[in-house]
Amino acid sequence: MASKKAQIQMMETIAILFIFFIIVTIAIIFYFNIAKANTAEKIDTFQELSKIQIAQLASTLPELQCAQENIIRANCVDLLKLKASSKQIPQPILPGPRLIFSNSNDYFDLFSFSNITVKQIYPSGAQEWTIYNKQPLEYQSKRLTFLPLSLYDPKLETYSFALMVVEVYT
Amino acid sequence: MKKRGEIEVQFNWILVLVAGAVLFLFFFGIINWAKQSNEESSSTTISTYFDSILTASAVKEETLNQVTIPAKQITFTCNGYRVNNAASLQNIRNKIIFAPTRIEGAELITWSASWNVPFRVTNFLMVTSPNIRYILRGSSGDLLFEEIQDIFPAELQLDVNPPTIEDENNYKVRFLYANQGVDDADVAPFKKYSAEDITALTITGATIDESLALTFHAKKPVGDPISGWASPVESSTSFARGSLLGALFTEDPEHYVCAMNKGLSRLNNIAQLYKQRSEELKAYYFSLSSFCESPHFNALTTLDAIAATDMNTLAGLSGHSFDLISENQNARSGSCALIY
Repeated sequence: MASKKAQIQMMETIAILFIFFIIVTIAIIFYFNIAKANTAEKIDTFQELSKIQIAQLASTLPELQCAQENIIRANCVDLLKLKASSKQIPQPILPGPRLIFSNSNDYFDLFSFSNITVKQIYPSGAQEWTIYNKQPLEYQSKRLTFLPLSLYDPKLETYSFALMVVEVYT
Repeated sequence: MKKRGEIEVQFNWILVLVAGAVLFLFFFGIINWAKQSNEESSSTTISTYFDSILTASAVKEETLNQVTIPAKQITFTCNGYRVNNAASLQNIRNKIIFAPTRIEGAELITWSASWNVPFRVTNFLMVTSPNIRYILRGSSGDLLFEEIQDIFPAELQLDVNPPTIEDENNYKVRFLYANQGVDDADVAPFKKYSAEDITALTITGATIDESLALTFHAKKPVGDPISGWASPVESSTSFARGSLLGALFTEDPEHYVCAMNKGLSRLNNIAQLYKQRSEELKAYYFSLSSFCESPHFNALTTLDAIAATDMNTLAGLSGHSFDLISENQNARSGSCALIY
Protein backbone atom coordinates (compact mmCIF):
# COMPACT_ATOMS: atom_id res chain seq x y z
CA MET A 1 0.00 0.00 0.00
CA ALA A 2 2.86 2.39 0.97
CA SER A 3 4.78 1.35 -2.16
CA LYS A 4 1.82 2.30 -4.35
CA LYS A 5 1.55 5.68 -2.60
CA ALA A 6 5.26 6.33 -3.22
CA GLN A 7 4.89 5.32 -6.86
CA ILE A 8 2.01 7.77 -7.24
CA GLN A 9 4.09 10.50 -5.57
CA MET A 10 7.00 9.85 -7.93
CA MET A 11 4.68 9.87 -10.92
CA GLU A 12 3.33 13.20 -9.70
CA THR A 13 6.86 14.63 -9.44
CA ILE A 14 7.78 13.37 -12.92
CA ALA A 15 4.52 14.74 -14.37
CA ILE A 16 5.20 18.14 -12.81
CA LEU A 17 8.72 18.14 -14.21
CA PHE A 18 7.42 17.04 -17.62
CA ILE A 19 4.83 19.85 -17.71
CA PHE A 20 7.43 22.30 -16.46
CA PHE A 21 9.85 21.39 -19.26
CA ILE A 22 7.05 21.64 -21.84
CA ILE A 23 6.33 25.19 -20.61
CA VAL A 24 10.07 26.03 -20.69
CA THR A 25 10.35 24.63 -24.25
CA ILE A 26 7.36 26.70 -25.38
CA ALA A 27 8.91 29.80 -23.78
CA ILE A 28 12.25 29.14 -25.51
CA ILE A 29 10.57 28.63 -28.90
CA PHE A 30 8.62 31.87 -28.35
CA TYR A 31 11.81 33.72 -27.37
CA PHE A 32 13.70 32.41 -30.41
CA ASN A 33 10.90 33.42 -32.76
CA ILE A 34 10.91 36.95 -31.36
CA ALA A 35 14.73 37.08 -31.52
CA LYS A 36 14.59 35.82 -35.13
CA ALA A 37 12.10 38.51 -36.09
CA ASN A 38 14.23 41.15 -34.36
CA THR A 39 17.38 39.93 -36.11
CA ALA A 40 15.64 40.02 -39.50
CA GLU A 41 14.50 43.58 -38.76
CA LYS A 42 18.05 44.55 -37.71
CA ILE A 43 19.55 42.98 -40.85
CA ASP A 44 17.06 44.94 -42.93
CA THR A 45 17.97 48.20 -41.13
CA PHE A 46 21.71 47.51 -41.53
CA GLN A 47 21.28 46.72 -45.25
CA GLU A 48 19.33 49.95 -45.68
CA LEU A 49 22.09 51.87 -43.84
CA SER A 50 24.70 50.21 -46.02
CA LYS A 51 22.76 51.21 -49.15
CA ILE A 52 22.59 54.84 -47.96
CA GLN A 53 26.30 54.81 -47.13
CA ILE A 54 27.20 53.50 -50.60
CA ALA A 55 24.97 56.14 -52.24
CA GLN A 56 26.51 58.87 -50.04
CA LEU A 57 30.03 57.76 -50.91
CA ALA A 58 29.30 57.40 -54.62
CA SER A 59 27.80 60.88 -54.88
CA THR A 60 30.74 62.54 -53.10
CA LEU A 61 33.63 60.76 -54.81
CA PRO A 62 36.47 63.20 -55.63
CA GLU A 63 37.06 60.91 -58.63
CA LEU A 64 33.81 62.21 -60.15
CA GLN A 65 32.87 65.47 -58.45
CA CYS A 66 33.00 68.82 -60.22
CA ALA A 67 35.64 71.00 -58.61
CA GLN A 68 37.59 74.07 -59.52
CA GLU A 69 40.78 74.38 -57.49
CA ASN A 70 39.21 72.15 -54.85
CA ILE A 71 36.03 74.20 -54.55
CA ILE A 72 33.39 71.53 -54.90
CA ARG A 73 30.08 71.94 -56.66
CA ALA A 74 27.55 69.77 -54.81
CA ASN A 75 25.57 67.16 -56.73
CA CYS A 76 27.62 67.69 -59.84
CA VAL A 77 29.65 65.18 -61.86
CA ASP A 78 32.48 66.19 -64.20
CA LEU A 79 31.75 64.60 -67.59
CA LEU A 80 35.42 64.11 -68.48
CA LYS A 81 36.17 62.44 -65.14
CA LEU A 82 33.11 60.27 -65.64
CA LYS A 83 34.23 59.25 -69.12
CA ALA A 84 37.74 58.52 -67.86
CA SER A 85 36.47 56.44 -64.95
CA SER A 86 34.06 54.42 -67.08
CA LYS A 87 36.67 53.87 -69.78
CA GLN A 88 37.80 50.29 -70.22
CA ILE A 89 41.47 50.44 -69.32
CA PRO A 90 43.93 47.61 -70.06
CA GLN A 91 45.26 45.82 -67.01
CA PRO A 92 48.85 44.61 -66.93
CA ILE A 93 48.20 41.89 -64.35
CA LEU A 94 44.56 40.92 -64.54
CA PRO A 95 43.29 39.46 -67.81
CA GLY A 96 41.03 41.65 -69.91
CA PRO A 97 40.13 45.32 -69.70
CA ARG A 98 38.41 46.54 -66.54
CA LEU A 99 36.69 49.68 -65.34
CA ILE A 100 38.98 51.88 -63.24
CA PHE A 101 36.75 51.51 -60.18
CA SER A 102 36.31 47.77 -60.62
CA ASN A 103 40.01 46.94 -60.81
CA SER A 104 40.88 47.85 -57.28
CA ASN A 105 40.07 46.35 -53.91
CA ASP A 106 39.82 49.89 -52.54
CA TYR A 107 36.61 50.40 -54.38
CA PHE A 108 35.24 46.99 -53.45
CA ASP A 109 35.71 48.02 -49.82
CA LEU A 110 33.78 51.17 -50.66
CA PHE A 111 30.98 49.87 -52.85
CA SER A 112 30.91 46.15 -52.04
CA PHE A 113 28.56 44.25 -54.38
CA SER A 114 26.79 46.97 -56.28
CA ASN A 115 26.26 48.50 -59.67
CA ILE A 116 26.68 52.25 -60.08
CA THR A 117 25.64 53.93 -63.28
CA VAL A 118 25.13 57.51 -64.37
CA LYS A 119 22.33 58.09 -66.89
CA GLN A 120 22.01 61.31 -68.81
CA ILE A 121 18.36 62.36 -68.78
CA TYR A 122 18.32 65.76 -70.44
CA PRO A 123 19.04 66.78 -73.15
CA SER A 124 17.76 63.67 -74.90
CA GLY A 125 19.95 61.18 -76.74
CA ALA A 126 20.56 59.71 -73.32
CA GLN A 127 23.92 58.19 -72.64
CA GLU A 128 24.80 55.84 -69.82
CA TRP A 129 28.10 55.22 -68.05
CA THR A 130 28.81 52.32 -65.75
CA ILE A 131 31.43 53.33 -63.24
CA TYR A 132 31.38 50.31 -60.95
CA ASN A 133 29.87 46.89 -61.35
CA LYS A 134 30.40 43.92 -59.10
CA GLN A 135 27.66 41.35 -58.89
CA PRO A 136 27.70 38.46 -56.42
CA LEU A 137 27.10 34.93 -57.72
CA GLU A 138 23.83 34.80 -55.81
CA TYR A 139 21.76 37.55 -54.28
CA GLN A 140 18.35 37.85 -52.66
CA SER A 141 17.41 41.38 -53.60
CA LYS A 142 18.60 44.62 -55.18
CA ARG A 143 18.17 47.91 -53.33
CA LEU A 144 17.98 50.95 -55.56
CA THR A 145 18.80 54.58 -54.91
CA PHE A 146 18.38 57.36 -57.47
CA LEU A 147 20.40 60.54 -57.05
CA PRO A 148 19.70 63.52 -59.33
CA LEU A 149 22.86 65.18 -60.58
CA SER A 150 24.03 67.83 -62.95
CA LEU A 151 26.62 66.77 -65.49
CA TYR A 152 29.27 69.35 -66.32
CA ASP A 153 31.16 69.31 -69.60
CA PRO A 154 34.41 71.30 -69.11
CA LYS A 155 35.08 71.45 -72.87
CA LEU A 156 31.85 73.18 -73.81
CA GLU A 157 31.18 74.57 -70.33
CA THR A 158 27.63 73.25 -70.40
CA TYR A 159 25.47 71.41 -67.90
CA SER A 160 23.05 68.56 -68.50
CA PHE A 161 20.76 66.66 -66.17
CA ALA A 162 21.56 63.10 -65.04
CA LEU A 163 20.65 60.42 -62.55
CA MET A 164 23.08 58.31 -60.59
CA VAL A 165 21.57 54.88 -60.05
CA VAL A 166 23.07 52.90 -57.19
CA GLU A 167 21.99 49.25 -57.07
CA VAL A 168 23.16 47.40 -53.99
CA TYR A 169 22.94 43.59 -54.03
CA THR A 170 21.95 41.95 -50.75
CA MET B 1 7.95 -0.82 7.22
CA LYS B 2 9.27 2.29 8.96
CA LYS B 3 12.67 1.75 7.30
CA ARG B 4 11.05 1.67 3.83
CA GLY B 5 9.29 4.96 4.57
CA GLU B 6 12.57 6.57 5.61
CA ILE B 7 14.25 5.47 2.35
CA GLU B 8 11.25 6.82 0.42
CA VAL B 9 11.56 10.28 2.07
CA GLN B 10 15.32 10.36 1.49
CA PHE B 11 14.86 9.31 -2.14
CA ASN B 12 12.34 12.11 -2.64
CA TRP B 13 14.83 14.65 -1.25
CA ILE B 14 17.62 13.36 -3.50
CA LEU B 15 15.28 13.55 -6.50
CA VAL B 16 14.30 17.14 -5.62
CA LEU B 17 17.97 18.04 -5.13
CA VAL B 18 19.07 16.55 -8.47
CA ALA B 19 16.10 18.10 -10.33
CA GLY B 20 16.80 21.44 -8.63
CA ALA B 21 20.47 21.32 -9.59
CA VAL B 22 19.61 20.45 -13.20
CA LEU B 23 17.08 23.28 -13.34
CA PHE B 24 19.53 25.69 -11.75
CA LEU B 25 22.28 24.79 -14.23
CA PHE B 26 19.82 24.97 -17.12
CA PHE B 27 18.64 28.49 -16.23
CA PHE B 28 22.16 29.63 -15.36
CA GLY B 29 23.29 28.46 -18.82
CA ILE B 30 20.39 30.23 -20.55
CA ILE B 31 21.00 33.50 -18.67
CA ASN B 32 24.71 33.37 -19.41
CA TRP B 33 24.13 32.66 -23.08
CA ALA B 34 21.48 35.40 -23.34
CA LYS B 35 23.82 37.89 -21.63
CA GLN B 36 26.72 37.09 -23.96
CA SER B 37 24.57 37.14 -27.06
CA ASN B 38 22.96 40.41 -26.01
CA GLU B 39 26.35 42.05 -25.37
CA GLU B 40 27.62 40.85 -28.75
CA SER B 41 24.43 42.02 -30.43
CA SER B 42 24.55 45.48 -28.83
CA SER B 43 28.25 45.82 -29.77
CA THR B 44 27.36 44.95 -33.37
CA THR B 45 24.50 47.44 -33.36
CA ILE B 46 26.72 50.20 -31.92
CA SER B 47 29.43 49.33 -34.46
CA THR B 48 26.99 49.58 -37.36
CA TYR B 49 25.57 52.91 -36.26
CA PHE B 50 29.06 54.18 -35.48
CA ASP B 51 30.10 53.16 -38.99
CA SER B 52 27.25 55.27 -40.40
CA ILE B 53 28.37 58.22 -38.26
CA LEU B 54 31.93 57.80 -39.55
CA THR B 55 30.75 57.60 -43.17
CA ALA B 56 28.61 60.71 -42.78
CA SER B 57 31.56 62.54 -41.19
CA ALA B 58 33.97 61.34 -43.87
CA VAL B 59 31.89 62.55 -46.82
CA LYS B 60 31.50 66.05 -45.39
CA GLU B 61 34.55 68.21 -45.79
CA GLU B 62 36.12 70.02 -42.85
CA THR B 63 33.47 69.18 -40.32
CA LEU B 64 33.90 68.48 -36.65
CA ASN B 65 31.30 66.39 -34.84
CA GLN B 66 30.98 65.60 -31.17
CA VAL B 67 29.42 62.20 -30.85
CA THR B 68 28.20 60.30 -27.82
CA ILE B 69 27.93 56.56 -28.24
CA PRO B 70 26.88 53.98 -25.65
CA ALA B 71 30.25 52.24 -25.47
CA LYS B 72 32.88 52.03 -22.77
CA GLN B 73 35.82 51.61 -25.07
CA ILE B 74 36.67 51.54 -28.76
CA THR B 75 39.98 50.15 -29.99
CA PHE B 76 41.23 51.16 -33.41
CA THR B 77 43.54 49.56 -35.93
CA CYS B 78 44.18 50.73 -39.46
CA ASN B 79 41.56 48.40 -40.91
CA GLY B 80 38.86 48.42 -38.29
CA TYR B 81 37.68 49.04 -34.80
CA ARG B 82 36.27 47.01 -31.95
CA VAL B 83 33.49 48.28 -29.71
CA ASN B 84 33.83 47.15 -26.08
CA ASN B 85 34.90 43.52 -26.09
CA ALA B 86 33.17 42.51 -29.31
CA ALA B 87 34.56 39.33 -30.81
CA SER B 88 34.72 40.69 -34.33
CA LEU B 89 36.55 43.71 -35.70
CA GLN B 90 34.27 46.09 -37.59
CA ASN B 91 35.85 46.75 -40.97
CA ILE B 92 36.15 50.47 -41.72
CA ARG B 93 36.22 49.60 -45.42
CA ASN B 94 37.71 52.33 -47.53
CA LYS B 95 37.48 55.09 -44.93
CA ILE B 96 40.86 56.47 -43.95
CA ILE B 97 40.78 56.92 -40.20
CA PHE B 98 43.51 58.29 -37.99
CA ALA B 99 42.85 57.59 -34.34
CA PRO B 100 44.52 56.72 -31.06
CA THR B 101 44.84 53.00 -30.37
CA ARG B 102 42.12 53.19 -27.71
CA ILE B 103 39.32 55.60 -26.95
CA GLU B 104 37.76 55.41 -23.51
CA GLY B 105 34.41 56.88 -22.54
CA ALA B 106 31.32 57.64 -24.54
CA GLU B 107 32.44 61.03 -25.88
CA LEU B 108 34.10 61.11 -29.27
CA ILE B 109 35.24 63.79 -31.63
CA THR B 110 35.28 63.08 -35.35
CA TRP B 111 36.84 65.53 -37.71
CA SER B 112 37.28 65.31 -41.44
CA ALA B 113 40.03 67.09 -43.34
CA SER B 114 40.58 66.90 -47.05
CA TRP B 115 43.90 65.76 -48.41
CA ASN B 116 44.88 68.05 -51.28
CA VAL B 117 48.00 67.25 -53.36
CA PRO B 118 47.09 69.84 -54.80
CA PHE B 119 43.80 68.34 -56.07
CA ARG B 120 41.50 66.79 -53.49
CA VAL B 121 42.21 63.10 -53.09
CA THR B 122 39.96 62.11 -50.24
CA ASN B 123 38.82 63.17 -46.79
CA PHE B 124 40.90 61.90 -43.92
CA LEU B 125 38.88 61.24 -40.82
CA MET B 126 40.35 61.96 -37.43
CA VAL B 127 38.75 60.31 -34.42
CA THR B 128 39.80 61.19 -30.90
CA SER B 129 38.50 61.81 -27.43
CA PRO B 130 38.15 65.05 -25.43
CA ASN B 131 39.72 63.11 -22.52
CA ILE B 132 43.05 62.81 -24.29
CA ARG B 133 45.46 65.61 -23.44
CA TYR B 134 47.66 67.10 -26.15
CA ILE B 135 50.76 69.11 -25.23
CA LEU B 136 52.43 71.21 -27.92
CA ARG B 137 56.00 72.41 -27.58
CA GLY B 138 57.75 74.79 -29.95
CA SER B 139 59.20 78.27 -30.32
CA SER B 140 56.95 81.26 -30.77
CA GLY B 141 57.63 82.83 -34.12
CA ASP B 142 58.13 79.44 -35.74
CA LEU B 143 55.57 79.19 -38.57
CA LEU B 144 54.97 75.46 -38.18
CA PHE B 145 54.39 75.84 -34.42
CA GLU B 146 51.88 78.67 -35.05
CA GLU B 147 50.11 76.68 -37.79
CA ILE B 148 49.67 73.61 -35.60
CA GLN B 149 48.05 75.78 -32.91
CA ASP B 150 45.70 77.27 -35.51
CA ILE B 151 44.53 73.95 -36.97
CA PHE B 152 43.92 72.32 -33.60
CA PRO B 153 40.17 72.27 -32.81
CA ALA B 154 39.04 74.14 -29.71
CA GLU B 155 37.06 71.07 -28.58
CA LEU B 156 40.28 69.24 -27.73
CA GLN B 157 42.61 69.83 -24.79
CA LEU B 158 45.76 71.49 -26.12
CA ASP B 159 48.34 72.84 -23.68
CA VAL B 160 50.85 75.06 -25.44
CA ASN B 161 54.35 75.23 -23.93
CA PRO B 162 53.25 74.66 -20.30
CA PRO B 163 56.10 75.71 -17.94
CA THR B 164 55.56 72.63 -15.76
CA ILE B 165 53.73 69.45 -16.58
CA GLU B 166 51.53 67.69 -14.06
CA ASP B 167 49.49 64.53 -14.29
CA GLU B 168 45.86 65.61 -14.75
CA ASN B 169 44.53 62.05 -14.80
CA ASN B 170 43.98 61.88 -18.53
CA TYR B 171 44.13 58.29 -19.68
CA LYS B 172 46.36 59.29 -22.60
CA VAL B 173 48.78 62.17 -23.14
CA ARG B 174 50.31 63.01 -26.51
CA PHE B 175 53.26 65.41 -26.85
CA LEU B 176 53.75 67.30 -30.10
CA TYR B 177 57.18 68.86 -30.66
CA ALA B 178 57.31 71.36 -33.53
CA ASN B 179 60.84 71.73 -34.87
CA GLN B 180 62.42 70.58 -31.61
CA GLY B 181 63.53 67.30 -30.08
CA VAL B 182 61.74 65.33 -27.36
CA ASP B 183 62.43 66.22 -23.74
CA ASP B 184 62.77 63.35 -21.23
CA ALA B 185 61.73 65.66 -18.37
CA ASP B 186 58.21 65.90 -19.87
CA VAL B 187 57.55 62.21 -19.19
CA ALA B 188 58.55 62.29 -15.51
CA PRO B 189 55.00 62.84 -14.09
CA PHE B 190 53.64 59.87 -16.10
CA LYS B 191 55.82 57.03 -14.77
CA LYS B 192 52.85 54.82 -13.87
CA TYR B 193 51.31 55.01 -17.36
CA SER B 194 51.91 52.37 -20.00
CA ALA B 195 54.09 53.15 -23.00
CA GLU B 196 51.17 53.16 -25.44
CA ASP B 197 49.37 55.87 -23.43
CA ILE B 198 52.21 58.43 -23.31
CA THR B 199 53.43 59.12 -26.81
CA ALA B 200 55.10 61.93 -28.74
CA LEU B 201 55.50 63.16 -32.28
CA THR B 202 58.30 65.40 -33.46
CA ILE B 203 57.51 67.38 -36.58
CA THR B 204 60.31 68.96 -38.54
CA GLY B 205 59.83 71.25 -41.52
CA ALA B 206 58.83 74.71 -42.66
CA THR B 207 55.05 74.71 -43.05
CA ILE B 208 52.12 72.29 -42.91
CA ASP B 209 51.51 72.74 -46.65
CA GLU B 210 54.79 71.05 -47.53
CA SER B 211 56.35 67.72 -46.70
CA LEU B 212 57.39 67.30 -43.08
CA ALA B 213 59.65 64.78 -41.34
CA LEU B 214 57.89 62.92 -38.53
CA THR B 215 59.28 60.86 -35.68
CA PHE B 216 57.01 58.75 -33.49
CA HIS B 217 58.04 58.21 -29.87
CA ALA B 218 56.63 56.23 -26.96
CA LYS B 219 57.48 56.41 -23.27
CA LYS B 220 59.82 53.85 -21.75
CA PRO B 221 57.87 50.90 -20.30
CA VAL B 222 56.61 50.90 -16.69
CA GLY B 223 59.33 49.65 -14.37
CA ASP B 224 62.21 51.14 -16.33
CA PRO B 225 64.48 52.79 -13.71
CA ILE B 226 65.09 55.88 -15.87
CA SER B 227 62.01 57.71 -17.06
CA GLY B 228 62.07 59.18 -20.53
CA TRP B 229 61.32 58.40 -24.15
CA ALA B 230 62.12 54.92 -25.44
CA SER B 231 64.29 54.20 -28.43
CA PRO B 232 64.43 53.21 -31.26
CA VAL B 233 61.87 55.51 -32.82
CA GLU B 234 59.90 55.24 -36.05
CA SER B 235 60.29 57.90 -38.73
CA SER B 236 57.90 58.84 -41.48
CA THR B 237 56.79 61.71 -43.69
CA SER B 238 53.66 63.78 -44.08
CA PHE B 239 52.58 65.91 -46.96
CA ALA B 240 49.94 68.64 -46.72
CA ARG B 241 47.63 69.53 -43.89
CA GLY B 242 45.39 66.43 -43.97
CA SER B 243 48.30 64.08 -43.65
CA LEU B 244 49.91 66.05 -40.78
CA LEU B 245 46.61 66.07 -38.90
CA GLY B 246 46.52 62.29 -39.31
CA ALA B 247 49.97 62.00 -37.73
CA LEU B 248 49.02 64.27 -34.81
CA PHE B 249 46.18 61.93 -33.79
CA THR B 250 47.73 58.53 -34.57
CA GLU B 251 50.03 57.14 -31.91
CA ASP B 252 50.99 54.00 -33.76
CA PRO B 253 53.39 54.67 -36.66
CA GLU B 254 52.25 51.44 -38.39
CA HIS B 255 48.66 52.67 -38.32
CA TYR B 256 49.76 56.01 -39.78
CA VAL B 257 51.71 54.38 -42.63
CA CYS B 258 48.88 51.93 -43.35
CA ALA B 259 46.28 54.74 -43.50
CA MET B 260 48.61 56.85 -45.67
CA ASN B 261 49.06 53.89 -48.04
CA LYS B 262 45.28 53.77 -48.44
CA GLY B 263 45.35 57.48 -49.26
CA LEU B 264 48.19 56.97 -51.73
CA SER B 265 46.26 54.21 -53.46
CA ARG B 266 43.36 56.65 -53.96
CA LEU B 267 45.85 59.30 -55.09
CA ASN B 268 47.15 56.92 -57.74
CA ASN B 269 43.65 56.35 -59.16
CA ILE B 270 42.67 60.02 -59.06
CA ALA B 271 45.92 61.20 -60.66
CA GLN B 272 45.29 58.68 -63.47
CA LEU B 273 41.78 60.07 -63.92
CA TYR B 274 43.07 63.65 -64.04
CA LYS B 275 45.71 62.55 -66.54
CA GLN B 276 43.07 61.02 -68.84
CA ARG B 277 40.96 64.16 -68.40
CA SER B 278 43.91 66.40 -69.33
CA GLU B 279 44.71 64.18 -72.34
CA GLU B 280 41.17 64.63 -73.62
CA LEU B 281 41.28 68.41 -73.03
CA LYS B 282 44.70 68.62 -74.69
CA ALA B 283 43.36 66.85 -77.81
CA TYR B 284 40.29 69.10 -77.81
CA TYR B 285 42.33 72.33 -77.53
CA PHE B 286 44.80 71.01 -80.15
CA SER B 287 41.91 70.65 -82.60
CA LEU B 288 41.06 74.31 -81.92
CA SER B 289 44.75 75.35 -82.16
CA SER B 290 44.30 76.96 -78.77
CA PHE B 291 46.93 78.08 -76.25
CA CYS B 292 45.06 75.98 -73.71
CA GLU B 293 46.68 72.82 -75.05
CA SER B 294 49.96 73.78 -73.39
CA PRO B 295 49.06 73.66 -69.64
CA HIS B 296 47.25 70.35 -70.10
CA PHE B 297 50.16 68.92 -72.06
CA ASN B 298 52.65 70.07 -69.39
CA ALA B 299 50.51 68.62 -66.62
CA LEU B 300 50.67 65.06 -68.02
CA THR B 301 54.22 64.33 -66.84
CA THR B 302 53.53 65.81 -63.40
CA LEU B 303 50.33 63.78 -63.04
CA ASP B 304 52.26 60.63 -63.99
CA ALA B 305 54.83 61.40 -61.28
CA ILE B 306 52.09 62.07 -58.71
CA ALA B 307 50.37 58.78 -59.61
CA ALA B 308 53.60 56.90 -58.94
CA THR B 309 54.07 58.35 -55.44
CA ASP B 310 54.46 55.98 -52.52
CA MET B 311 55.50 56.43 -48.87
CA ASN B 312 59.19 56.50 -49.84
CA THR B 313 58.68 59.29 -52.37
CA LEU B 314 56.01 61.22 -50.44
CA ALA B 315 58.41 64.12 -49.79
CA GLY B 316 58.70 64.59 -53.57
CA LEU B 317 55.03 65.55 -53.76
CA SER B 318 55.95 69.11 -52.73
CA GLY B 319 57.70 69.73 -56.05
CA HIS B 320 55.06 67.99 -58.21
CA SER B 321 52.31 69.81 -56.38
CA PHE B 322 54.02 73.14 -57.00
CA ASP B 323 54.37 72.33 -60.74
CA LEU B 324 50.70 71.39 -61.04
CA ILE B 325 49.54 74.54 -59.21
CA SER B 326 51.66 76.58 -61.61
CA GLU B 327 50.17 74.86 -64.71
CA ASN B 328 46.68 75.27 -63.29
CA GLN B 329 47.32 79.00 -62.88
CA ASN B 330 48.48 79.13 -66.51
CA ALA B 331 45.22 77.45 -67.54
CA ARG B 332 43.24 79.92 -65.45
CA SER B 333 45.05 82.96 -66.87
CA GLY B 334 44.31 81.68 -70.41
CA SER B 335 40.59 81.15 -69.54
CA CYS B 336 41.01 77.43 -70.24
CA ALA B 337 39.33 74.50 -68.49
CA LEU B 338 41.33 73.93 -65.31
CA ILE B 339 43.48 70.87 -64.74
CA TYR B 340 41.90 70.24 -61.34
